[in-house]
Amino acid sequence: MKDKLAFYFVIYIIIPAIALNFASKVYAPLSDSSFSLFTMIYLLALFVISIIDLYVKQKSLSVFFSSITTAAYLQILFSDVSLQNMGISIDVNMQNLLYLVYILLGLKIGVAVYYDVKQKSLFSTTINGKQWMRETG
Amino acid sequence: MNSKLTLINLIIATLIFTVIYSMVSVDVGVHVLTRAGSLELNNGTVYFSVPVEVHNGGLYEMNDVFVHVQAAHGDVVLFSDNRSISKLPALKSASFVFHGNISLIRSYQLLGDDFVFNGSTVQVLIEISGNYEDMATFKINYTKHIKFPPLLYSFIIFPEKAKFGKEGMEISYFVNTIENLNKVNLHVEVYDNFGTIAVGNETAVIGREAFIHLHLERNVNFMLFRNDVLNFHAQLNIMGVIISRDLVYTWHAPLDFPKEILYFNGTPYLRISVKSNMDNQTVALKIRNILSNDTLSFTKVLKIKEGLTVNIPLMNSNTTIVATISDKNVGLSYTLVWAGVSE
Repeated sequence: MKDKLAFYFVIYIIIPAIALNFASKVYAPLSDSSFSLFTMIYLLALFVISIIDLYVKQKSLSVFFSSITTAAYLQILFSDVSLQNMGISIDVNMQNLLYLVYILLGLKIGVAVYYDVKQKSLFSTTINGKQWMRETG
Repeated sequence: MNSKLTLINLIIATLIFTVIYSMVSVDVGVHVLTRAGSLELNNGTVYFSVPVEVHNGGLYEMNDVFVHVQAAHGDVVLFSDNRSISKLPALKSASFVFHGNISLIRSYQLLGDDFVFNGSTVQVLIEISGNYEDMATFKINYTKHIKFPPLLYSFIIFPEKAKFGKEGMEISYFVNTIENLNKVNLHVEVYDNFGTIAVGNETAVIGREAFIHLHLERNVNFMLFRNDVLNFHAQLNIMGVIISRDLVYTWHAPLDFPKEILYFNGTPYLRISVKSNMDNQTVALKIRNILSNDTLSFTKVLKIKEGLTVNIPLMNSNTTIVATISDKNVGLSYTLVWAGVSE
């Protein structure tokens, strides 16, 4: 359990913090914008969800929360992106792309729910099978 | 299950990353050709070209690429044009050349003296819009400031250097324009409260001080002794663009008018005071006795200096005296006549 916690901490906090620090040095506007703040909040949320995931049997719960968090994060930061590069200002509207991403996130939740339900039915089948075997000798 | 969720995560991350990468990788190369060989002036119109190259350095095909070029000075739009292409494949470039022309007269009307004398910083705005497979739309703005040279660097009239002659008047001027201008017409009119004094029209000499010759409309010999308020109205015609200069110059007569003949020990003499500040100029006097038909002229060359008073003895005569006083430098001469001069 401790190993997993340490692993998630490195994956969600340490490595992104280093990457963001590096990215801010390469592309200065990142350091001034709310991008870094929102990204760190998002990653912190993912870290918390991954800890919850360790203690909860239904995996779909953590997938659902992480997907909602991801959708919120993408909507806030990537629906309308404004970039400045070498005197050129670029405005990007990725709303249509985000709709596709939300479908994929929904699919992800669906897959997780499907496996949870399947897992539950397998578990109950196993329990019932063991009970039947005990009863029949 | 984990492998499938990871796969979906990877697809999402890849989509987001590749689209953003594609946006950042759009390279807009703009080269606005200006003076060096491309700013062409012909029949009062400035011709220029703006080549725009759009490079799609991204991973997706760009659709409905629309390029809008606008040249403006502040809120005044001088030129505006659009081009569009339906598709620009990944890692390919598209070139557009916008050929523009701006009428000098129209520009002068729009921009006024700012354009003519100071040049203008024309802002060329290039706007490129399009989309990536309808997934993401983008708009790229690129602004380039181009310093247009002034049409006219200098247009100066020097009324203080006016010269008068028998035929007319000469006014010194200095005109300096951008090098492409060849035919610039200069028109100058000088007038005072009593009407036009002189008018002239010539092709202006560019880049150095020169004189324009004006035809005298009336006798101006009085200006040797009398002050006058002269109005200079100068007009430059640069291929239909009229640039005017109006100056008011107070002409200070170089000499004080000799009101009477004075006598000293029975000898008549003229007393002339030099009142202008035209130092180091010379005044020649020629005095002739008409009745005695004395052809011997009395000529005295004076080095004039402000405040100087000169007594010029006249011939000891009781006849009419004609004194012609001329200022060689200014070019004016004035004839004074006294009748019945006696001791």
